Amino acid sequence: MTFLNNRTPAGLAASILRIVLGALFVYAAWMKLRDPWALFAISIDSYQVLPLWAVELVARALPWFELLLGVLLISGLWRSVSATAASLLLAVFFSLMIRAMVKGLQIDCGCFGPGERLSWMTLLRDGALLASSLFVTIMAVRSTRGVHAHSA
Amino acid sequence: MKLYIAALAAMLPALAAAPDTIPGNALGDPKAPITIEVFSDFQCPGCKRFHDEELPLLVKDYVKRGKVYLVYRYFPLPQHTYGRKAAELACACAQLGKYEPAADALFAKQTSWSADGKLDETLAPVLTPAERKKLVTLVKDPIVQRTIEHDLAEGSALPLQSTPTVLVTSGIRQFKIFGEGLFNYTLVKATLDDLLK
Repeated sequence: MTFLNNRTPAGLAASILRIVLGALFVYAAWMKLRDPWALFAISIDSYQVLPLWAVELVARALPWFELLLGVLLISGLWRSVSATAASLLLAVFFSLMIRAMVKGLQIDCGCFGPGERLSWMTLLRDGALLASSLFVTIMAVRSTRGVHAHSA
Repeated sequence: MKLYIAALAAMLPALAAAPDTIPGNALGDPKAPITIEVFSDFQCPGCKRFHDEELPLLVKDYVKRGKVYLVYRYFPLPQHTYGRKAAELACACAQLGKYEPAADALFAKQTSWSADGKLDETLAPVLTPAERKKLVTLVKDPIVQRTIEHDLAEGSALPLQSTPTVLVTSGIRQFKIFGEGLFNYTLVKATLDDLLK
């Protein structure tokens, strides 16, 4: 288990961001899991993207996936895989939010449980998280390639 | 321990100063396991949609069965010219025990009075001549303004981000539901059923 890679300033920054992202994923998962699943489904449904059966499936599964991702990011296990998955997930969230804003939907963002209206601030926050996640992903992939190159 | 006492002491005035709504503004059993507060503006199209499509189902499935206590909260938005006046009249009607018919009439003719401001004419068919006379006095009653101000303050404190917003309270748990998802009754029902388990 590798918590911090502080060999270089960029490596240290990536490790800190990875743990922060992990903690945020765990927090987001917890905020959803403590409430009835349908409440999160209401937020997902607001985006008007998925049919009802898929809304239910995502509402039930996504919080557990976020929890798993958060734990992996914090622990440093499967760093490249977990960071890539986090980046993809955040990219999907970000695209859906932009779509909703462009369509003028006044909806609950559903980011950290119910009650937060989707706004430019939400977009800014998610954009920053996505940028951080991409940085963590690049650093994780580079570090994995480095390890492989050394062991070859 | 001192911190707990201080926190409790700080909460006491808020608890004591938390007036409920006037009786006509609520429906169902106050002892129901779930309380739903509907923050609404009579001039808002989304509120009309909620009133027409969602509310009757909620009343039928939960309020009438003693599972939900429904409280109507006034949240007239400043951008709506006649929203406040409509809220005042509905609140006065509530004191006559006629909130529901008044709300039905206001939402049914929302487009019309939103354009010409003829609110008294809109409510006339649901009131008797004697009630109409009483309404003139009741609408000036300070309790009407107090009720609306209380609801506005409660909504702002949430904070409420759009209308209609539904505040669901089940024990110590509280959820705010708003936006498009609020109109998916299947999911709203699933949430309430989950809370009732």
